[in-house]
Amino acid sequence: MNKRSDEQPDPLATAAKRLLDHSVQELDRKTVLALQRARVNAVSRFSARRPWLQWAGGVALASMAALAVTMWLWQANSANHSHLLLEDLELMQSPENLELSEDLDFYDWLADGTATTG
Amino acid sequence: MSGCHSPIAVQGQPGHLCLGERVGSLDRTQALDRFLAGIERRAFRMAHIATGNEDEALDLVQDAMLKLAQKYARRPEEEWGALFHCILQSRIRDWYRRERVRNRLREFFRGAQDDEEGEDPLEQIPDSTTPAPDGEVQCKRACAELEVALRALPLRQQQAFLLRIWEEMDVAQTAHAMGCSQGSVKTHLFRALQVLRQRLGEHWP
Repeated sequence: MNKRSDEQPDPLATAAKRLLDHSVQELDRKTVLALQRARVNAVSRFSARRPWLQWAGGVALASMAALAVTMWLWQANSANHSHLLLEDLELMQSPENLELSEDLDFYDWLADGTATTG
Repeated sequence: MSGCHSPIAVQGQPGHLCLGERVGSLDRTQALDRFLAGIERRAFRMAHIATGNEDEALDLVQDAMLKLAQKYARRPEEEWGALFHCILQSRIRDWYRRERVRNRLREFFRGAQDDEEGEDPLEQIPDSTTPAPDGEVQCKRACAELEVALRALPLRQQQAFLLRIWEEMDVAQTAHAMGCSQGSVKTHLFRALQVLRQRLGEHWP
């Protein structure tokens, strides 16, 4: 707080300042204790506060938002291609197809054309 | 505060804060406590003069302390005074606006029947021209007169007077705390001094 050295001291202002300073010393005990409690409460809030918690909260929120967007996009894609995925799954799980793929001699015989010629 | 200068880290503590950071935080906590201890009574008197109610004044000061601790305590200590007054005066203005709305509603429902009951608060103070028994009583009487005269001022004049005269803030700081221009601060202070001279008289205190 800067002194107002550029101005003439006003007698009323000087007296008012002196009296107001005096009145501060005259506060009753109940008020002084209430002010002390308020101060301790405020200081404890500050000391309990950690700056990294702010960052952690922000990072957690951003991660959740990113996860939500990813899941939403994945669901949108899977809705378009769901029938293809199901067909692939069916093909892979079919026991018939599995037996055919294992019988390589049969494929060779078909390729040679022996089945048609005789 | 921004960097960790000590190589020693305290493992097992919340956030694994390094020793330097913890010591810095403790210093700042102590500095904040000292600052608030030095300002709390004057802040209370300011809020009390503005509201005329001890409980309201305590609430306003507590709010201002909390806001400073939570939002601005990491700013340089030299800024705390101006920031605290900025918060407190803002809280007082908010209180004043709410109170005005309440008063208008009260008047609306009560009507104009009680208008004549209003008394000049200065008349409630004993006549100060009578000789005082001692200096202490005279001082208390002068203080009471000043308080009544200050409470009768419009809020902006009251703020300008208390911040400029009592807190000895410069015009720019006062303007920032009051949320107005520097020219307005000068005008409010000039009018406040005029009114106080008229109300308190030449022989005060």
